[in-house]
Amino acid sequence: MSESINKRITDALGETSDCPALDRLLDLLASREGEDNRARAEAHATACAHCSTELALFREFENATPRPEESADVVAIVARLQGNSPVSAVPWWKKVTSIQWMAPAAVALAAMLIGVFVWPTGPAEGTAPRVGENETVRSGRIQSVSPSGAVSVKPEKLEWQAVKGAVKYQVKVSEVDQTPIWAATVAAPQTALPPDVLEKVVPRKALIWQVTAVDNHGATLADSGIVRFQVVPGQN
Amino acid sequence: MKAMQDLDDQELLSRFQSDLARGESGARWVDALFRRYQSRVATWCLRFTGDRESAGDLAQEIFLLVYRNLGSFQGSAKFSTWLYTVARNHCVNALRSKQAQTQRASESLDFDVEDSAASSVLDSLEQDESLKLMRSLIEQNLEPIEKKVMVMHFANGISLDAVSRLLGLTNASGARAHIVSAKRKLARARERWQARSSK
Repeated sequence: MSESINKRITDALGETSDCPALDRLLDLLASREGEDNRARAEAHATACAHCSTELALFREFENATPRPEESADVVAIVARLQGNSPVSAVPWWKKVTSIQWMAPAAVALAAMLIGVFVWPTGPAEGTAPRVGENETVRSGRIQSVSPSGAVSVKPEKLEWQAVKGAVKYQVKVSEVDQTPIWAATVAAPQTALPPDVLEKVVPRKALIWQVTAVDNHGATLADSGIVRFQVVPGQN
Repeated sequence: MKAMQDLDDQELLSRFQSDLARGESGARWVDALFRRYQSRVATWCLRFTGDRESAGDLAQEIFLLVYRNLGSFQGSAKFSTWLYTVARNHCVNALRSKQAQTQRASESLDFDVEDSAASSVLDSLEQDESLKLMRSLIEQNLEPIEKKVMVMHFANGISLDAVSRLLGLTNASGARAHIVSAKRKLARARERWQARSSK
């Protein structure tokens, strides 16, 4: 087969001077420029390999619903897009301190202050014993996790408040689209990040992590939820 | 006043452009608009690349490109058509660049038949004339699906795997089967044309 024939076939499959731009072709086919023009456009779109393919691809795009085998990937990509929107004038880590987020926090703080200054102090008879300062109650939520939000220095370890009754903690670190990076089970309420994980902790790249406290029966006592962090040099 | 979800694409864009004119960011309008298309763009990119990571990169780049050019979008085309054009061009260019880097061989156009006579006759035709002849052979001899696969692979440089995913081809060898059948049909059509023209 000569090169020239190959080239002519490839050229014949390409756009011609008669091919309208896609938006115009769609207008013509929608009869926005009269019935005669619609019929001509339809005849062209049927005969022209380039235009019929353009239309088919556009319709695939318009109706691009994830197939079952694509669903998990599409959900992860959409989560990533929402976490890194080009629209956000304010970085996500600044939104943490925005008024929208602060409102519930302010209510919680007010409730705590009322609890400290107004509520009678000391346990009443028959109430549960106070837990140690370094332990959380079995509230289901692990508190005081670090790193969290924007941090100025690359963290070398993950730390959290101990949970009473926990014999081990399951820790996992992931990309923001939940692609796993590392997981470990430890006994202490902290763990050093291994070198291959530290390599992925680069400035301005967000990562997420989660820790789950487990008792000696293997039951979950508390969980940190997803904690997001990002090294932002100069951030206090 | 309409709720944000009741606004069509054009109305969201108008409000964004009004906010811009007032020196505001208009981010909430664009954010709402982009959210409508995230799943579609993600699915499209996934079909192009076949893997989550690079599809996510492409999708992010597409929305960034669109966002950067929103201020100059005149609205003469529908937003979805414009977004499609950006997505398609970006994916095709990225795929071509990746293929060039990896020097991955694409399906050859070569036919399995003796064609020196046809070549010489074709070579004797004017370029426009031979192009018309080729278009006519393609139009008259190929099934619609074969034309689409040929255009996507040979004219647009989209890999056969991506063509199969984009068109949802579920047959065993996907787009490759249609290429093989199209080439065979075109070769026979050229033989018939050669026999007629040599009489």
